Amino acid sequence: MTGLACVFAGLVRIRVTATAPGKPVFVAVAPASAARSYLSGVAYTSVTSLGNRATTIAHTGAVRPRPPATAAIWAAQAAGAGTRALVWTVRDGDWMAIAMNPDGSAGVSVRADVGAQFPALAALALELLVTGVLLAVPAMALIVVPANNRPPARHCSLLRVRELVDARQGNQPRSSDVRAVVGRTETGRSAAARNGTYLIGVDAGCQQWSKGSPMRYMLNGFLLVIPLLLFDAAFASRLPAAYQAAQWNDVPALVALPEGVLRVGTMLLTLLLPISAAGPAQRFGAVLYAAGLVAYVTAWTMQIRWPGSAWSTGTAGFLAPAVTPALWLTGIGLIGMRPLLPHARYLPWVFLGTAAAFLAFHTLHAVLVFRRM
Amino acid sequence: MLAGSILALASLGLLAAAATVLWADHSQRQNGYLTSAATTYSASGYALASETVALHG
Repeated sequence: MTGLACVFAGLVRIRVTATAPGKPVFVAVAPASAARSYLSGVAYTSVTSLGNRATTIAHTGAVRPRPPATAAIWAAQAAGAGTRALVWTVRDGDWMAIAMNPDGSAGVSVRADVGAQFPALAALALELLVTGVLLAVPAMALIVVPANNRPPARHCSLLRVRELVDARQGNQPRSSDVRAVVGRTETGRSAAARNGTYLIGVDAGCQQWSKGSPMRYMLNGFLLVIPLLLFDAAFASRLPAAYQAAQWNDVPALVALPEGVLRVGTMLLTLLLPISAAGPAQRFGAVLYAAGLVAYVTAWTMQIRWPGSAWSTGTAGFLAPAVTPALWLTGIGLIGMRPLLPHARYLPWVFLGTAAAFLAFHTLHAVLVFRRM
Repeated sequence: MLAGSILALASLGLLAAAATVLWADHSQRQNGYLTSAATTYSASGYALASETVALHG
């Protein structure tokens, strides 16, 4: 542990239980030099790493130590039968923790864990969060602003025309569609029909379209996520035990970490997807989104109302709350297919790709929890 | 655009770290302590000792 960790850890707790029931145990922390001289010439074992792959070093000796409580070297100690917890305020220095039998006899076998309070963790999370959000503002500005500086006028106007064509559910643009776009701008210069496609040289129209009113940016895919976030927040605590933190969060970081990152990424990308009902893809997306809401709420309802039923404990029923977001996330992706920015036509695919990767990890997470049941 | 993307990545990283820390803070505590897995340690001799833990601020 470094000095920073020393400040950061707060109180440290070492919990020890003798593996033989009812047998008392002594646990203490002492300055390392004092502990070493107490143990000099004594046969004992050093634990060089914690956890399930703990490694140990055996020290040989012929001296029988005094009962540990009689040595006045301990900074903190606890002794007795059952589980004993030593709580120690971290201080600078070299330290050593020791577990023994209170009478100083040979043969020590204990179950132990080490914990620290880390009291500043919530503050650290808040600082990371605030820095992340503060950094997101210039990031978004740098990504968005250059796009507005060079409006691809023709492409942009064509998109506008396509919206009008879609709006009347037609296949080909009519000259009235083009006039509607050109007519909206004061500097519309020319419109020409080639191969059934209307090419329009309209700069001002594009500016107007790409910047749009602030409402254009307010009406984004995140609005569609909010009801689901509220639903989660309201009902998550009523889900069966397998979905609760103690069991649900017990998966390898290799799964939990990418899942968390991709979840945040998916949520942030919805901010760049406009809500639009212009084309057939958008209308299909709206249907998928609605169907997804019903499926998701149903999946949760089954788990909350009938947790012990064959459906809820079966593979499909258990995985349903993790898998059904595929429907409404795809729906949001399709609804947001219209680019918020003229050059960002790829964005829906970036979103759908991120969402698919998130769901893959999310489902893997659910499978891991399910297999433990 | 490139600078924006790099900043966005950094921002995402920080947000992910914040989420992880919040998760640990809210769900991994036992009576207020972030705790290692309990493990069984045995010694045929008279004591089990940790390594020297050096704390220097």
